Amino acid sequence: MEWDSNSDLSAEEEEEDEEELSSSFFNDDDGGLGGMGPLPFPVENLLHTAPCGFVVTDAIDPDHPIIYVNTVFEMVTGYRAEEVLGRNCRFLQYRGPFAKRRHPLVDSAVVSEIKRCLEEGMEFQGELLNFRKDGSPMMNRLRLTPIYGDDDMISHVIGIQFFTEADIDLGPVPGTTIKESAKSSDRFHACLSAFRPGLPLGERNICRGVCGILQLSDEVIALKILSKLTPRDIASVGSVCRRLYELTKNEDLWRVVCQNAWGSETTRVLQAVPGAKRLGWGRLARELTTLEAATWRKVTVGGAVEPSRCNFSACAVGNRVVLFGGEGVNMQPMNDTFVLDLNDSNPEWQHVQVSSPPPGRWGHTLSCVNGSHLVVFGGCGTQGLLNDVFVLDLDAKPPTWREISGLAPPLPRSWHSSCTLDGTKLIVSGGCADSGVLLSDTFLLDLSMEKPIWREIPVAWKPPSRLGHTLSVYGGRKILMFGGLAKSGPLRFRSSDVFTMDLSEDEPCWRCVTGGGMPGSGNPGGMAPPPRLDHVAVSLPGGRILIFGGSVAGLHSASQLYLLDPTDEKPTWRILNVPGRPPRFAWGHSTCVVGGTRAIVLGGQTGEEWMLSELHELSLANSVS
Amino acid sequence: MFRTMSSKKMITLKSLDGQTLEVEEAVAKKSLMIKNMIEDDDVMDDDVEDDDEDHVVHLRKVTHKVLEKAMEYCKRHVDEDENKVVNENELKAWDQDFVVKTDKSTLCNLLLAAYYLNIESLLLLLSKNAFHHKTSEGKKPMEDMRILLECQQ
Repeated sequence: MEWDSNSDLSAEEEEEDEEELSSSFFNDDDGGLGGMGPLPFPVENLLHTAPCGFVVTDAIDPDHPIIYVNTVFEMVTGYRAEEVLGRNCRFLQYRGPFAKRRHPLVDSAVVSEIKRCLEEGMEFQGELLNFRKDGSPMMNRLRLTPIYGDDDMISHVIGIQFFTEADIDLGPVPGTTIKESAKSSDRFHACLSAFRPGLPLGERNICRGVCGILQLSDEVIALKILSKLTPRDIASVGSVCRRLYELTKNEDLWRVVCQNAWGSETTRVLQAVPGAKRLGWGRLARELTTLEAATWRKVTVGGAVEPSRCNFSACAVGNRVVLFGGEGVNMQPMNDTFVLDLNDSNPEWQHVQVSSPPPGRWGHTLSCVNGSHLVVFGGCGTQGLLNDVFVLDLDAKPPTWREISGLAPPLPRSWHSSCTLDGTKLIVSGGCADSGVLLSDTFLLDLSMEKPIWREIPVAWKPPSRLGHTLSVYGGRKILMFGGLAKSGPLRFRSSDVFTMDLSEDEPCWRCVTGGGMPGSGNPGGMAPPPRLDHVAVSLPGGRILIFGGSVAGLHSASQLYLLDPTDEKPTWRILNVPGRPPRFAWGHSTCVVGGTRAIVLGGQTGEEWMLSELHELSLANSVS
Repeated sequence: MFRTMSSKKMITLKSLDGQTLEVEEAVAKKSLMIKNMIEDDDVMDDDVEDDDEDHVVHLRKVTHKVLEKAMEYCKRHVDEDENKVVNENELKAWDQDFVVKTDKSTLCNLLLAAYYLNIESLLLLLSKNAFHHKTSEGKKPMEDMRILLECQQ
């Protein structure tokens, strides 16, 4: 509904119509308006072409005062503009100008619906009993449309009214005589004869005979129903019928669906992909759900990481891969930082000059925190095992490492696993402590606090201690532990067990998902990955985990991909076949996930990690170039 | 207008077909539509004498059968609003059972009623159930969904 096209009629339009209508109107035998004496309104206004009332209210003011009414409104309701400007339209529900409250015959359910639509910024269509100034009833077929201002707030509401007769016997209006009220209804009838809208009333009875969800408006279906479904459900909704197909093509709907399904942290990461490379939300959701577009690619990059090293850690910040530390050729722990910006047209490894780097180490973990920071924990340094925490602010000028002295730190360790919860909490688990003892504890450090304190998560039962396993976050605040080299009596075996923990519970506990409680006992259900350690675990939006790589027991290929959905009722391993040439090797500590959709494997071709000019990329969704 | 003091105030709901249903006020108010209608004290007609009559809430778009089902759901979920301890797993199981026990012809109407009466959690439960991507067993899942939603292809 355009603001300008429905403002007061210009003089020209009135003249055109005068000739058409004058013959039928003024020659009416029942006298029409002529028999009632002069009206307080100019006659030309009767020749309005659009037979509807038009009202505009100010939506910023909480009581929605009227700021404009057209002449049809004035004519039909009997209220002049100056009497109603500044008031809320509800006076039309009062019978006559002296009533103080809504007439009981006015359906309060409809009033409630109007209120709800206005609150939710949705269009309203419906019918309501209204009253003219003289107390005579009429049905108002009403349509309310919110208008948005510059700042995406609703600034005005436009109301369009088709008034028709109401077949109701009300008795006398308070404050008038019977004779007068009868006369006024005649006049009303005569007024309207020129204005019959000619549109049948819509059948809005919901529960009579054949009914369908499709009688709800597009807006309601999209906003109130579809936006709450998962991406996979929306995909199948599109096949139900034409209208739902059209609705599910809407990008905004997909954006809301993705946000609801994957959480704001994940969608924020996905949104950070540069515009040129970003698919629409609909396509992204589909591809990340079906994984139909997953491929392996080889990427060649420039620059060099020197001196060469192995056992470093890599982690991505946005589209930049950060590498820290490692074990040099003489087994000395390194402490330098390198960055590879994959946004560049010709990405190159670059050494980052930092003021006070952490002590050198290998076998440590590097995780992303607070969007653009990285946190290092543990590892093996020159003096032995470490349990310190350092945070890198990559966007500071210059990039700076800062030590976080957390109280009550866990035992120093290496080859532990870590992950980040809510973007602020670092979780570490297991690993190898002094004298080669394997650990099975789980610690949490809340980096959003002023003075972070380490806290062990107390559990009644722990999975067997291990190193080289992975921790992945899914479903908001749940973590999944997979694989590693696990303790079994006096021995150690590679494991393929899956354990989960829900950190939103008051008393979180480890649960075994697949596989027996003890390592080496094999896994029921689906094609389980061969046991392994130092593998790669990628968290997909929606909660699934993708596993590949690592040091695999037996002669199995490390590049086979395995998929598990821990949110299923009966989680089952599935193999994912992906075109393109996979790397022969992939290690957890030297693989990172970029932009939520690409796993970058460093040094995967030869197993020699210091060959860092050729990367293997597993992209899970297409990138539009 | 309303009688005060009683902690279990009852409200009479009147459906499309004229039948009435008595429910506790707290239960009825889970429907934001009904809550607005009750709390909106704008309704009074000096000419009509019905001081002794309990206020009746007219819901002209919902049949008695569907309204009963909706109130059954509201009754089970009323504790959530009062911050009482809720056993989530039990509630989930009850919800699933509730959906399974509701006959197919009522489900669609109940979904529309959940929207109309503005019972957010019921709408969510029914939407997720109606549109859930089922891996087919026997009947084509699309057909099931179409019948449930009563759409023509």
